[in-house]
Amino acid sequence: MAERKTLIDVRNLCNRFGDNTVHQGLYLTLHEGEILGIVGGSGSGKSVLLRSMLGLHKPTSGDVIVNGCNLKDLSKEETDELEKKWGVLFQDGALFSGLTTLDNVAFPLREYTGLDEKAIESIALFKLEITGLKADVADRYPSSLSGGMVKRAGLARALALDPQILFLDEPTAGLDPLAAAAFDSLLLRLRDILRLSVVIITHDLDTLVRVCDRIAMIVDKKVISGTLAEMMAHDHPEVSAYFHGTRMHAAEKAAHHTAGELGG
Amino acid sequence: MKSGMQNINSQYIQIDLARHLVVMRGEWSVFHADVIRKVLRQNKKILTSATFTADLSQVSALDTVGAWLIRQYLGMHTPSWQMTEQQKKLLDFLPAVAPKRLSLATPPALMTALTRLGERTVEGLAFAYELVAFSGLIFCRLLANLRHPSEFRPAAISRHIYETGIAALPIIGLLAFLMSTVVSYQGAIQLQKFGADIFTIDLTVISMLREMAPLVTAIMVAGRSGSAFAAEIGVMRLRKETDALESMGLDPISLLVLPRLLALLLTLPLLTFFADIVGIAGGALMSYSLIDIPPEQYIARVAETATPTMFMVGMIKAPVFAMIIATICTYHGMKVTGSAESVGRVTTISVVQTIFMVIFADAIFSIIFAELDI
Repeated sequence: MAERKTLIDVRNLCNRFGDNTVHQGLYLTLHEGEILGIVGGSGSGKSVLLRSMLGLHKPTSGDVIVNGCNLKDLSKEETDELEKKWGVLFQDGALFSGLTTLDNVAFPLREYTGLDEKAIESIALFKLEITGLKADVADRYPSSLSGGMVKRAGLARALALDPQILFLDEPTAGLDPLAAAAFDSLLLRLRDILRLSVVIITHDLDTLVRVCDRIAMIVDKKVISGTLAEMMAHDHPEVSAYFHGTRMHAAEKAAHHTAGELGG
Repeated sequence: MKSGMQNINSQYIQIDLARHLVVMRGEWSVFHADVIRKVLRQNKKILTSATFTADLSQVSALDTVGAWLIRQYLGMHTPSWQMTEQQKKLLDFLPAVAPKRLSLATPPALMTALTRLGERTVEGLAFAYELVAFSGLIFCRLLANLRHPSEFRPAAISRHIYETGIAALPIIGLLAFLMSTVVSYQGAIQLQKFGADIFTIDLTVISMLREMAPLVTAIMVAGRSGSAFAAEIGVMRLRKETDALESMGLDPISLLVLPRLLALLLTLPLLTFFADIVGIAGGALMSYSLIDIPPEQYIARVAETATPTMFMVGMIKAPVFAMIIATICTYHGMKVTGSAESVGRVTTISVVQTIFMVIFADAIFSIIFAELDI
């Protein structure tokens, strides 16, 4: 596991907004094929970290290296090329409200491939299908979809160009427990089959326990990361408080329970 | 083997007819899918003519779109595969039956047009009905509040007076000045031909007082404040703020609609009056520069021309316009449901409808005043 390729390497990242320092000397890595969960209290800078990794936010200082390329040294063309290798599911789906669900998924395909309309439509339909959406939602507009459907459609769009890296910003927020659990399972399956590397920002402890291989917590403007077991054993008071809360124990117990059932 | 078929050797696919072997190679990904698909389509006949062994071992990268192409063009006729576990997983992962979009039967164009005409008519009637009902609701709330004057919200009303009135002064003043300039120029050029220069003043003053000042002020306020009414209330509806109010036993009409209506009822006449003054002042400047009439003479002429009736004819329109603007715009704001884009749509609709209704009402006024010989 230690020998795996590093896909994203965040080095000495600093982000400052006026007098407010959000990140100071932050280091983070994403290895190939892993699911990395990013946690932290509200306002700890999870979203800013994600935006920095995506190049949507220019860090005050520090480097973000994706696939060996430093984001700040890339030309416009190289950035475009890199952006095709990742897919992003934004917090509220960020589906284009003026396009139908199918057209939302078809949009990147139309922009970046030379495929004809018929092929694009079929591809968009099977992308919807693999994220668990039926063809009858294809012609509906995002405003008429339920929360869970929006997330799935957003995921289908993020997967449209078969990216290497998937970024998910609170994918299970606002979903009922069943839908959230289904989304978690879908994610594990996709990672396994599509060989994805995934970065998830989440508040959902069940997702954290069930899905994430490694957890990065933003504490004191830096990242403390490790596997769940390592994080639970960590002696930083904030980390310890986070991973020994009652809700965390419940989530862990539930995960063990499901694992036991599946194993037996 | 049929004649005319030959072995294929392309960048992505190699077909060996003698050994019944299809070898795929290279990067079978979404970015090369258009080229790969073309090759596959060209050789569809060959691929369906016999059973082949598919060899994926030389494929350097395979994604879902590549796998989809393989399944589409080889899936049915390929009894044996040479591929890795991971490639097999990916192929098996794709839906077995290609999902089909539900095709909606499209009725003939004439029917669609007729249906749309019918829908529009019903919508228009429903809108008229609801608008009247909404006006009635506002009026009832107003009466109810009059019985308990403490129900009025002086803070909210004064905020709207500031926003719709005081903040609008500069733009209304500039607009009135420009309108008087336009009218003076047109009048001076035409009337000079008859040696009736002095009537330029009459033209400017009469048109400003009777028509231009109330109309232009109302149109500007509809664009400035009417759109704000619709958008503000619309956003509050979206964020369920109106539901929160109602759940506390408070009435959104009294809290959101009435203060805006009352503020506009006060400010629009005042703004119209302000536009009158600036318009007449602009007329003075233009008369001096275009037809060399000194200010004293101008004032004397204005005093002769501008009768109190003429002034009132213009002013009486202002509250009516205010009511039109406030009612239509707050109505549309209250009708917002669903998604954020409806706020933008509703704002546009309310401005267009208000300006239309203001001009329509102005036309009605013209007819009434003409009949009454005012």
